[in-house]
Order: sequence, then C-alpha cells, then structure tokens
Amino acid sequence: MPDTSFEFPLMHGFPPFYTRQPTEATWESQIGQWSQVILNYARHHRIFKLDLQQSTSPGGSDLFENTKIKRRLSFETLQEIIQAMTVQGTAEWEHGPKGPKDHAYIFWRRPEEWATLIWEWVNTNGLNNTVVTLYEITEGDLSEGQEFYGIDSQVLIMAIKVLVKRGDAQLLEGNEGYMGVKFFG
Amino acid sequence: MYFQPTQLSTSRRPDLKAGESLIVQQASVGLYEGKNKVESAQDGVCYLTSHRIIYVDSKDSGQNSCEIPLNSIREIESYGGFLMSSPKLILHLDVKALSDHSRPPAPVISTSVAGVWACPICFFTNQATVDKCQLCGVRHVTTNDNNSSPSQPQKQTQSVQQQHRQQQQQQQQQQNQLPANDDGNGSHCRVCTFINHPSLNQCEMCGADLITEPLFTENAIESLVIEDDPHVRIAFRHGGQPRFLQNLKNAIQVKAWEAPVIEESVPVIKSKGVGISAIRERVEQSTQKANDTMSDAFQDLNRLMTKATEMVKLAESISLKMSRDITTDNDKDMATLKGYLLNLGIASPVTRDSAGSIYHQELARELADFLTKFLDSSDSIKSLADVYCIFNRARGVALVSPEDLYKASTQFESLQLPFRLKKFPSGLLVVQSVAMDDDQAASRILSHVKNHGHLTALQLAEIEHWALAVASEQLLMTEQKGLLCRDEGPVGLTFYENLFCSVN
Repeated sequence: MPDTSFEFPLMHGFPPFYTRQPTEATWESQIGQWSQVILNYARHHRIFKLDLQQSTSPGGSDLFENTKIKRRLSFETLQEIIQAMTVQGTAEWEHGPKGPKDHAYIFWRRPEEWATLIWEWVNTNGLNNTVVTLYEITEGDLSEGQEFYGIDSQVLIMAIKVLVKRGDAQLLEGNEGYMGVKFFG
Repeated sequence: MYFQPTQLSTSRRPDLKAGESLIVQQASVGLYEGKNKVESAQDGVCYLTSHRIIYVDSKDSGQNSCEIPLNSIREIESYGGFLMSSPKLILHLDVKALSDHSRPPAPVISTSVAGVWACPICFFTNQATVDKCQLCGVRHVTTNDNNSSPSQPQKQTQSVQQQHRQQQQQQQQQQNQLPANDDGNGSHCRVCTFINHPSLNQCEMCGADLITEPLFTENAIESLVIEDDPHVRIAFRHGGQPRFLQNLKNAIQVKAWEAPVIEESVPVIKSKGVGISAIRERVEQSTQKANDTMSDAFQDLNRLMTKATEMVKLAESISLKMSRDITTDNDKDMATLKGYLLNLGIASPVTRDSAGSIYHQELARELADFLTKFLDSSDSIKSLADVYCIFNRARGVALVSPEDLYKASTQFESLQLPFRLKKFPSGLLVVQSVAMDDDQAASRILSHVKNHGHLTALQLAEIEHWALAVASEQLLMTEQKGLLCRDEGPVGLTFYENLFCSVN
C-alpha cells in the first residue's frame, strides 16, 4: 500500500455530492466528478476491480462514505455512475453489460494503454518470440517496478487480447483458462 | 355629448362612489348618441350601478369609457331588434338633470374627498357630507351657490364640455331663482311668532317645526323646455337586453342616488330640541341604528346581500377605531392584523346573477383589485387555496366556488391584469404578481441559499413568509434551473448552491 493517503477533492465534503441529483445537467456534472474521483482513487490505491455492494455498505470504503458529514453514496447511485463510466470506456461490468451489475473493472488505464505498456516492456527485456506465463507478467522479477505489476489477471488478459488483435502475441490455453502468452517479434 | 368621462379602478372596473353598488353588467354593447354611433364606444362592458350606467371600452378603457347618471333618465324605450339590427335600449334624457349632474348631488358626495363646513349658528365644524349641523341641527345653506362652493369637489375628469355645460346651468339657475323664495329675511314661527334665523328648521323659542321651503320646486324643473328629445341608445350585440332593462327599471324606481349615504343619515332626523341631552340622544340613536343594520342584515341571506355595502362600511369604521385605540407597542401587531382583516371587505361583490356571461372576467378583475391591496409587496406569491379563503372572507356574502375562482384566475393573462396563475409540476396552483416570474424567484432563492449555506423548504417558507408547499415548489423549480442541488440527508431534503455546475 502506498504510504501517502489519498487526497479527496473538495466535492467529497459537499453533502449533495452523495445524493443523486434529479436535474439532468446537474446529474451529468455529478457523474463526471464522481468518475474523476473514482479513477484517481483507484489509480492511487491500484484498484482494478470494484465490488459495488461491499464498497457502498457502511464502513465499506472511505471513497463512498464521508463519516465527517455522515453521508454515503447509495448502491443504486453508484451503479448508475459506473454504468455511465462504461459508456465512456473507463469501466466495464465484470459479467458483461447484460450480467449482474455488482462488480466492475475500473480502467484508470484502458486495456489499450496497458497493452502498449506491456509491449514496451517485452521489447526492452527481449522477450520477443518467447513464452511468458501470466504470473511472470504480474508477479515476476522482471516486471517488478512496472506499472502493471500486480495487475488484475482479467484486466491483463483484456490487455493481451488487444496485443493478439494487433498480431503481436498469442494466448496459450492451459487446463484452467489462459496460462501463458507468446510474444512475437 | 350626453356621455361623460368616468373614472376606473386599476383593473379597469368602474370606480364606485360611496353608497353606490353594482347591480348588473353586460358585455358586447355599443353606444349611440341620438341616432349616431359613438365610434369610440362600440364594444365594451356596460355596468349598471345603483347610480349610473357606466360603459367600459374593451379596447381603450382609459380613453373611451364613459357614464351616464340614472337620475338624468326621463324615459326608457325598448327596441327588440330586427334582422341585422341588435336589441337596443333607448334612454330619453332630461338635459336639466344631466347638466345638474356635473356637480354631484348633495347626499352622494364621497367621504374621502369631502371637506368641512362651519355651522353659522354654533360654529361647530361639520363634515361636508352632512347637510345639517351635527351639533345643533341647523341646515347647511350652501345648496344655492354650488358653483362657488369649495366643499363640493368636482370630478377630476372635468372637460371643456363640462365647463360649457356649467355655463348653461348657471343660466338655468338664474331662471330658477325667480320662483324660489327661500332667501327671505327669517321665518315666522306659527306658534309663538318669533322670527327665527332662516337656517333653522325648529323654532328657537318654542321648538315648534318651522315650514321650510323646498329648495327646488317641482314646477321649476318641469317648466324647462326640453329641446328636440335628447336620447342615447345602448345596443346589445350579444343579448342581455331584457335583463338589463329589468334591472335598470328597478334601479330607477329605487332611486338610490337620492338616498343619503348610510353613515350620514344617522343623526338629527328625529331629534327635538338642542343641548347636551339632544346630543346624547343622537349618539344613542346612531348606536341603535348600527345595531338595527346588523340584526336586519343577518336575518336572511338575501337581506345580507343588499346590506353588504353597509356591513363593509361598519367593519371599516370598527377597524379604524381599533387601530386608533391601540397605539401601544405590544399590541400594535394585533391591531394591524385586525385592521388588515376588516379592511379587506369588498363592497359590491361580483355575482353570477349580476355579471352573467362575463362572470369570470369580472370576477378576475375584482380579484385583481383585491389582490393589489392584499399582496402588498410586489413579489408576493400565494397558493390558490389561501387566496380562496381570504377572498371569500373578504366577500363575506355571495361566496365564490373554488371552480369559479380557478376559472377567474386563468383569465388574468388575457385581461392583462398584473397577476398570474401558475401551476407547479406537482399540481399546486399559486397566484403571483407578474413581476414574480421564475427567473426572478430563482435568483432570490439562490441568494437566500447563499446567505444561509443551505436551506430546507421549511426555512425558506419562514424567510419569505410563503406557504410550505409554495416554498418547496419554488425550491424544486430553482433546482430545475440548475441553480441548486439537493442533499437527501438524515434530517430531510436540504438544498445547496449547485457547486456541480459552477465548479467546472
């Protein structure tokens, strides 16, 4: 965990911030500010996946609850905000747009950006034309210090799929899902 | 020109004098003088009051409105209408009475403009509205020299034509001087032969009644030659002529303009003698009279209707007294409140019977008149339910139904009155002045919110003295405009300045 605590914006102490605004323009602006806070918070704490139910329950998260002013964002409102973020491409429901909407990936970097970062890492370390396990990418010695160190495996697969599409990599399937990836030159 | 200019109230209804009451009104009428159309007066509302017929033009009510006094009508002829010609009332006029009317008849002077006169016998200062001294009962002697009397205020709408009419009138009066011999040198008492001052109507020595000459003898008026049958016509384009005729006949029969104004009729009449005891007797009589009016008025509803004017006057005098009596600080609020409530009386309520097809329009005008008094600050706002209560309270009799009030309120805009009926999204109806539009209200509320940091509907209602429903609707409206945002906190709905939109 990073030692410096996250600095919340002023809005975080503004009581109406935790109420879903009925006026359309205000609501849009509110969504924008919430998604900004969520992305910054996730980047700061390296959060890749959000449990909506858990984080909106009392004491669940200091992001969605301000104990000083005694306000907490409701589950339904957070759902609406995440839904809006999926439209913008800064989030994605874990079980797809039609599945239950209680877990979501937060893209403080988009899969494309992750893909680019990994590809650069592959090139600098001369991993072209070799097979690398997913574990090596997330937890390996070579990737230590990289931004994607400790990345959520699902997000990693999304990123590698981007590379597959570009024709730079191939996913290797094992007994329990994807095991490794082969990078091309 | 037989029609004379008339004065209107702010909502373009006739300005009634003291003791005058509205009987009936009819829309879509046109006027003729003799056989010629009056071009400027072809579409308007015709009001029949107990004293006058008043025409209020629908296009240019300020310029083209006019009146004709009932006491100048000599004869009424009814014309039923034929093919393209609409039903008409032909009013044959008494030119003498018409010109007389340029000075108001003595008993009908409005109290608000009256001056005072000093009694020539006891020097008691009387109000100009009484024709006998209130202290000693001596008759006021200015009836003969009306033109020079300052205590007989002329209407401000006097025109050049009226001045011309006055000259005619002077000539006529010179003729009248001959038969009238009331300016003799004192009157003999038939009982004790004491020569009394000419203004006395009772002998100073023995108290016997003195014979007083009538000021205008009947034959003096009838001896006037009326030239070529002066008459005016009122054309009823959209019907209503029979009803108008019926009411007009009644009004002329009743001769309300001859009846003295209620308050002034109280003293003197039956009192015999002079001195302290007589004064006390008079005070008792006036109390008795007020009591009679009250008990009479409450006997049944119809009577109450006819007494409405008097009742309102009584209420006004009470409120006046009350606000005069209580001058100490602690009771001041109470006094103003009482005065406020009592002051709101409406003397001649518009009723469905009197207004007919234009009932709602007339009601709207009356309501506007009333609200101008009531909504003192120009930006006030009242829920329709509140208005309904206060308005009916003020009318006292002839209550309006909620439906009628609603219909009347919807007419504000088309009648160009300075009020609007507004419906909030929740269905709440309010009456507000034109100045109080949404933008203005929103900016006011925003400034309140800024001052207080955040506001609930209840707090706003207290600040603005609005009903709670009105306050919350106004807050929602302001929120809708994007100036406020809400906080559904544990204590309820609170509104904050909208930082979402202003921060970006």
